[in-house]
Amino acid sequence: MADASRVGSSLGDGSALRVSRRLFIAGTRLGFIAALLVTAACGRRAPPVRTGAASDSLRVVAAAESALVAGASKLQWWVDRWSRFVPGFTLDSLQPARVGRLANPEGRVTSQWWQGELDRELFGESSPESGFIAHPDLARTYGGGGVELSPEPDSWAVLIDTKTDSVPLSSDAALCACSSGPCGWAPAS
Amino acid sequence: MWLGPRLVILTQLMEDWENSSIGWGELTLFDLENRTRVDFRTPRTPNLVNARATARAELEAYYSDRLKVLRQLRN
Repeated sequence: MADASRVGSSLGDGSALRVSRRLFIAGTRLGFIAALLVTAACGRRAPPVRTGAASDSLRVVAAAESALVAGASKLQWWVDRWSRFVPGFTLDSLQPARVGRLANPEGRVTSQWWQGELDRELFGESSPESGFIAHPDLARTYGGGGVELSPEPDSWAVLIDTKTDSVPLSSDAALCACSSGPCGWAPAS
Repeated sequence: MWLGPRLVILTQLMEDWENSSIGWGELTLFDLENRTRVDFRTPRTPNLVNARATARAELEAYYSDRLKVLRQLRN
């Protein structure tokens, strides 16, 4: 609890976030030049994200940072994880890397992921107002009543829209993986 | 992880293309209300192997807990 309070407090003065925001503005002004210099990891290279006007991007980033501050206690487990590998890591250490707007659904849900509706809800995190289920990692094998993780954990998080049975959000890693072959869903038409 | 009814966070590990022992974490905040996304990145760590192992342990615990519930519901 002490750690959670400290994180919230350290973010509360906003100084570090203002600094990161300034850096983000500078990055935005560099526009496509900066984008071309960014080297993403992987066959996990991130897809291009459209950026809007600098002021609009700044507003979106500021809102996101505020949301992180408000949710600091919920994120403490993740901060704790990274503080083990990045000395002194806090939420203040995060740098905005990309900003964009959500596009149309990225894919369709397939029954290969679950053995039924019950499984789907149990293995994900339902949204407070229902209608969506967030899954931490679909890069796993499910069968025989067990779950076997892939060699790359934490690499395929997705959000399921249960009303349309679509995948409006997925991690970049998933996009990379799916662009080169079958992996459980087909692009939305 | 849901921060609110229309705010969801997805996280992932990223690996340096040229050095698989180096990587970083990414945290993406999706705002379903305003239909925006912002990706944040941690500083790089030379200890990706252990970061990956930690993520694996967390996920295994996550699924293990849910499998217990599933078995209870089916029995």
